[in-house]
Amino acid sequence: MKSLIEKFGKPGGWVIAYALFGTLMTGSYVYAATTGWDWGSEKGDIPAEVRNSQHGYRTYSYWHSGHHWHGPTFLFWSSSPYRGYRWGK
Amino acid sequence: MTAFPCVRCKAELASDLPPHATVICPACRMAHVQAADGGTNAREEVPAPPPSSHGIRVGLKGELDGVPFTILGRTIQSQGKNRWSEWCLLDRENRTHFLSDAQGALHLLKLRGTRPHAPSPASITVGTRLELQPGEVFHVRERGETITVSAEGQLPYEVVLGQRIAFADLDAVGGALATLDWREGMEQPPDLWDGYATTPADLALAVGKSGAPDAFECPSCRQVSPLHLGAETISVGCPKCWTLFQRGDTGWVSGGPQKAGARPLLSLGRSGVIRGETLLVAGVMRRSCMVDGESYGWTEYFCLVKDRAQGTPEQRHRWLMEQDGHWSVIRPLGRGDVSSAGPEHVLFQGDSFKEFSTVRGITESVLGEQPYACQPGDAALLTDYVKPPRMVSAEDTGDEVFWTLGDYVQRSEIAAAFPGVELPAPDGIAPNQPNPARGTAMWTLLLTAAFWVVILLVYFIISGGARDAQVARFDITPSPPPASPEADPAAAAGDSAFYSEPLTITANNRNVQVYVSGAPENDWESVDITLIHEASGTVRGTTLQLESYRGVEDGENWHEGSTVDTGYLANVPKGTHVLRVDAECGRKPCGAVTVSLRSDVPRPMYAFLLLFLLSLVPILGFAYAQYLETRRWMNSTNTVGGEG
Repeated sequence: MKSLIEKFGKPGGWVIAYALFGTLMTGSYVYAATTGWDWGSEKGDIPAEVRNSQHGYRTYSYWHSGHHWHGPTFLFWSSSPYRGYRWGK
Repeated sequence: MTAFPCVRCKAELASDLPPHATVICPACRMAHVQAADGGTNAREEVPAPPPSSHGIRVGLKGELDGVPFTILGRTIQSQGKNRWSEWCLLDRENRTHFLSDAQGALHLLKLRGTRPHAPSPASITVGTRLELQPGEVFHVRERGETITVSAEGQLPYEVVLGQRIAFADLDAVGGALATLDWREGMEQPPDLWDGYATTPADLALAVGKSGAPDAFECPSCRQVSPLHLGAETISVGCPKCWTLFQRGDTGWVSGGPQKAGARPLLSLGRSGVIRGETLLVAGVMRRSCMVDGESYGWTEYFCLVKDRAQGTPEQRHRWLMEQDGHWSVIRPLGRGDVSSAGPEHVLFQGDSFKEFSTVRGITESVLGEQPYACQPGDAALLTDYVKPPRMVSAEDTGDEVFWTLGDYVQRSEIAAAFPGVELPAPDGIAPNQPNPARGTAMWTLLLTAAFWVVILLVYFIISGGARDAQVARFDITPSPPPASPEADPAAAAGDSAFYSEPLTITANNRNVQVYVSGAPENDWESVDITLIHEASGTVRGTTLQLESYRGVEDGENWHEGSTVDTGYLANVPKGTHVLRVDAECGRKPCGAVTVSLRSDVPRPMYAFLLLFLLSLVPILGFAYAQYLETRRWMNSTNTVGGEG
């Protein structure tokens, strides 16, 4: 490290900012790759009352009455935190 | 030793040298030359030399290569405005050597021999190659004529005041120096003297304090200023009235008034620590040059290394040069330190320096002390060779080439060394300024390489372990959803979308690739894919789009859209899932679609996207560094330009 500093000078603000940015991006990639995260995939839960109803997850009203799914959640961030189901009313 | 009385004052004199030597009476200044027959002839009265800057004096004893010697005498040589001492040394083995004391620099010269094939002094050109005999190659550093203006003690030849003696100072390959000396006359072959820089300490000379005065009283305004250089001071610009004075034989000679300019940033007498050396500002010189009709100025602060009372100029003299807010600390180079390395390049300490500029520098003003004769209007050809942060410069006065080494100093270093001085912000990029973007670009390149390693490692580990397994494939004809359960009694019983039989996914928390193909004709079809985890009720979904339009326009068939689409469901838990497929299209009923599911599929796109994104940073960094480099070389007078 000392010889690098002698060769290239002391790393400045840009280098430190890039190191942080790159670490964040690389870390995010490692997280995404190891957890199977993918862009464009939505995630949600069918409520217990729907699942326990007569038709279970096939309940017509659940799919057609507008339920709230999350968009592609990544770490603490979601691209569409409150998105109505496309065919819901 | 031969003893004899002074012809004029009868003082007892002694000679340690063979016949034809000169002995000067210390009492009456009469010069005597010893004849071959043992007699003594009186010649002329010789003026007394001024005190030595190094405290060297006749009679002082020292040691050279383990052989004791005595200083017998000296002459003061003059070449125009410049003067220097040449001390004669006689060692115990009866060999004579000379010690040149010029501008504070001591060089010891030993006789190598006569060179009968040397060209005449008039045919020697400064800066050219000179081969005196086979294998004996030099570069001419300086050529000129000198006269003896005063002397003392004993000299091994006949001293003739005012006699012109031609000489050529030479640089040998490898850094040694030499001098050709036509002391015996132009018709006689010259003597070649080998030389090297030395110090009183190297010669074991017990020098005392210099006899030179420590202060300068301006004859014009009576302002008293300290003389930090002592007897080495050749020029002084009065800091009060700006009148310039040169050291003469009998005192200070006015060089005329100078136009008063702005006060220098670093005032005379200030000292600061730069690169571990305490530099004392002894003099200031403003210089300028004209390039393409535009004047460029800079300031040279002549500094003494305060911690070193004695030594060569290489050890004791520095300059701080400021131009456009950029600073360099400059030190003199010894003769022979720099050698040519092909066109537009010089070699110093194994590094090749590329020519940056050649300008005619003009002295504008002089304040404080300078160790050589100078005055406004003095011109010299200045050539800078750069290899940032260093710069080798040649100052060619026509008779002499003076080499220096500059090292770029950050403004913050100057500010720390001279607190309280308001320094201008640097403008542009200096010839020897380290490219400020190159270091940053190199750091980002190193970081990017590290990120690449991590990303590729993770990618290959993950993709190498990916199962990429086919889960299911369905051919589905979607039925459109009813408007409401009331409108369609069948809907009351449940959803009418396609639901698969339970599917088993074995990879835990990996992705599922969904591939949909269909055949919409002049229509679009939006396919909603939902994977329901039966055990938890967790769903993952995505929407894929198919569309296909075709027609004929101006007799040409056209087609647009795609009948296939791919999506990914993220982080799918292992276990039993049910696939729900629902579709919507422009014209009912929607066409059949084929849905294919694969689990744990490698995704190189994110890795490559990230590698590309991160690589942009060093690429942009190097592009900016190159832009700065181009800007630097735009200021060069060297039309070839570019980095060496």
